[in-house]
Amino acid sequence: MPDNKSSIDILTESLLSKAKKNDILTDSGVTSEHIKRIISILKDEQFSEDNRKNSKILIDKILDEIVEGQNES
Amino acid sequence: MQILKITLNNWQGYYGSGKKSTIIDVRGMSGKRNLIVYGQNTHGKTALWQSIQYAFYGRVNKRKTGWEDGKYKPLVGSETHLEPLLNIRAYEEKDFSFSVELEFEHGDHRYQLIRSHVAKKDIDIPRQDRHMRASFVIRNLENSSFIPEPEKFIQSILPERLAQFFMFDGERLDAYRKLFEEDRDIKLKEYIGHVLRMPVLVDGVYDLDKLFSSAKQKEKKFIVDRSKSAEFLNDYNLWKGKKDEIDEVIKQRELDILQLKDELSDVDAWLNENDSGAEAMAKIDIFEEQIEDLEGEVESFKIQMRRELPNSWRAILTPRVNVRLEMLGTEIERQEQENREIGSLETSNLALNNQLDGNPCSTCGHIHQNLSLKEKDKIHAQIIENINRIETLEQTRIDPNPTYLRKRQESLQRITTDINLNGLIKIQEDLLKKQSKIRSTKQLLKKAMEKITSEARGRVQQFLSEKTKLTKEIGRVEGDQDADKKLQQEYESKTRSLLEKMGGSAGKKTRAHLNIEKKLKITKELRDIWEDVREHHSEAMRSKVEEHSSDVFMDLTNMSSTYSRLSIKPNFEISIITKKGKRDAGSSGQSALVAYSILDALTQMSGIHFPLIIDTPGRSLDDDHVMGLFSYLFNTDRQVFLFPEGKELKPDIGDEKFGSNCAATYEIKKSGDDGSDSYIEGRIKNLET
Repeated sequence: MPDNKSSIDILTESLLSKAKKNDILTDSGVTSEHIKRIISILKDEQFSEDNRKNSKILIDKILDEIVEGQNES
Repeated sequence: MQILKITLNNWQGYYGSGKKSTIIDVRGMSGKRNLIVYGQNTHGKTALWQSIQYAFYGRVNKRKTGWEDGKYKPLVGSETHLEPLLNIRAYEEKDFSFSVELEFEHGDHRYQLIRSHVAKKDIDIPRQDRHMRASFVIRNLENSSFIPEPEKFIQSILPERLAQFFMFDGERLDAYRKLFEEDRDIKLKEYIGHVLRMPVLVDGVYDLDKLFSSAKQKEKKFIVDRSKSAEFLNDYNLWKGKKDEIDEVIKQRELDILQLKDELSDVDAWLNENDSGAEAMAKIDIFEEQIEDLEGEVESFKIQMRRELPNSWRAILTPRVNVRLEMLGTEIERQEQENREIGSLETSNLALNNQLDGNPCSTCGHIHQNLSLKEKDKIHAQIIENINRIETLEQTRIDPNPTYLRKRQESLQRITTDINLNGLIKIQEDLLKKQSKIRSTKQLLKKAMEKITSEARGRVQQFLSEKTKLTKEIGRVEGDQDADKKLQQEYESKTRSLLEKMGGSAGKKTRAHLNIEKKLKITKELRDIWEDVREHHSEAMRSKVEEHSSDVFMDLTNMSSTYSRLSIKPNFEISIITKKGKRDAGSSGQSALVAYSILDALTQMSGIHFPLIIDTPGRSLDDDHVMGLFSYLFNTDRQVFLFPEGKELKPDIGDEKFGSNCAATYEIKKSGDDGSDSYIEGRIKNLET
């Protein structure tokens, strides 16, 4: 085994890396914490058919939070 | 997650509960948590393996039918071939309850899980699943609290759908290999995607797409609303311009008023310091104003008197004229009386003549007949007397001339008036009072003027004049300010009204509009990076699984001189590649190793920490590969439970080779008259004391 990183670790790293390099996201106040929260929602909702609807709502809330944060800054 | 202890109560072949329950302790010394349970076929290895499935998910697949067919073992039954979960002997003894307890470690906490089924109270003998009542609790042993949603908690540790990658049956390994190879189990491929967490990316792209579309719809609405509001924009700008202008004027005027009040304040301060002079000047002003007012009133009285005087002679003559008018009235009344008497006498004579002539009375119609001479003489005498009286009256009724009398009466009536000389006298008295007041006020004025010098009076006069001027100016400016404030309100009202028609945007984008634009921008970028990572992640995971499984396979296979690696296609079709670069079908033993290699890679990559629990792990493998596989598994950092059949791994050899890797090894034995009861016998014990 070359390393012990799991799939979720790898995709999280990839998403964080791309988000960090994205000027629009960084200028909009999107933080690593926001990205991790979205990943966590999608991971938790992965096997719950009912809750798949919730993931959109929960992500939407995070997006609103980011926009509000940008307005306040 | 690591399992520390398994307790079975009346579970399948394992009879007994409470003190007689079956306990498998895995709390090994030095952190050893691996387990081997040896058992011959039908002794109860699978039942033990299934106890963990039951504990976690509350149901047990019929062994050979897999995880997806939805067929599960019955909870109760009286016959062995039905494979009920409740021990048949207990059932026969009317002990209708069974349970599995697990003690496990997850994160930094230890938990106790108890899942059980017991016959419902009103059921004497349960014969169907619905006759049993389920119970499931998980308790945190660190703080003795119960987990509120135990099923959800378990799914967070290992989703049931992925359990087949961690709990599997060696007998199905070859089938796994074929499924990978032939690309016909779409569901399994989907689960591989789940194990590799692809839904986090796929669902993420989907959700972000949906959120983007939703935000786009909202943005369109804002754009439409904004275009509608454009028609009001010109009017709004016009009134807004006026409002801004008047705002500026009002603001400037506020400053002007402040400045004027400052100046007034300075003047007042000077006047206060020069109080006596100022007081005298103030009095002078007051007296002068009073005199002016009084003179005005006097003039007014004089005008009134001048208006009233022409009628004063009438007022004087009226009493005498009234006497004359009374006399004239008497004369006129007399003449009218005489006229009425003449008429009456003439009527009387007519009636008397009718009597004489024997005609009917002109008034009553009566006829007097056979009048005597005496009576006739009397009538004649009366007629003559009446005629004489008429002649006299004719003389007096026109003396003096009635026309003259009437004209005279009218002339005298025109002279008379109701004006009273008292009113005129009152006006004159008031006039005299005012003139007296003027004189006394002038005296006071003279005294006040004597109090200040001419020079001082000049300075005071100057400041008082300045004060008056400033006060008037402030009044004027404040008046202008009030007027402008009314205009300001009007403009505000108009702009507000237009603003409402434009949805509060004033032609600009609303805050909500701007927010949705920001959200769209962020959502799009997030969606793009999610999509980007999704495209690459799938390939990266395939590559890692391929690399990892190739390493494991090459470690385990006894054909490392022939094979070079495993190849995994994007659709997870798997092949063994020879050193010559060709595909090789491989034997069933090699296929089983491929399956192990893939399962190991997938479970390692999943990030899920759960023991590998393998029933009949050596099926399809020859002895060399079994030993190699077990050796590999026990040397990974994961917890491994192996339930080998006697042919796969003899207990003595297993204990010798791998006993030191385990917390304990056990062997399943059979007991009872018919050999239907299973029980566990401990072998190697590296347990915590």
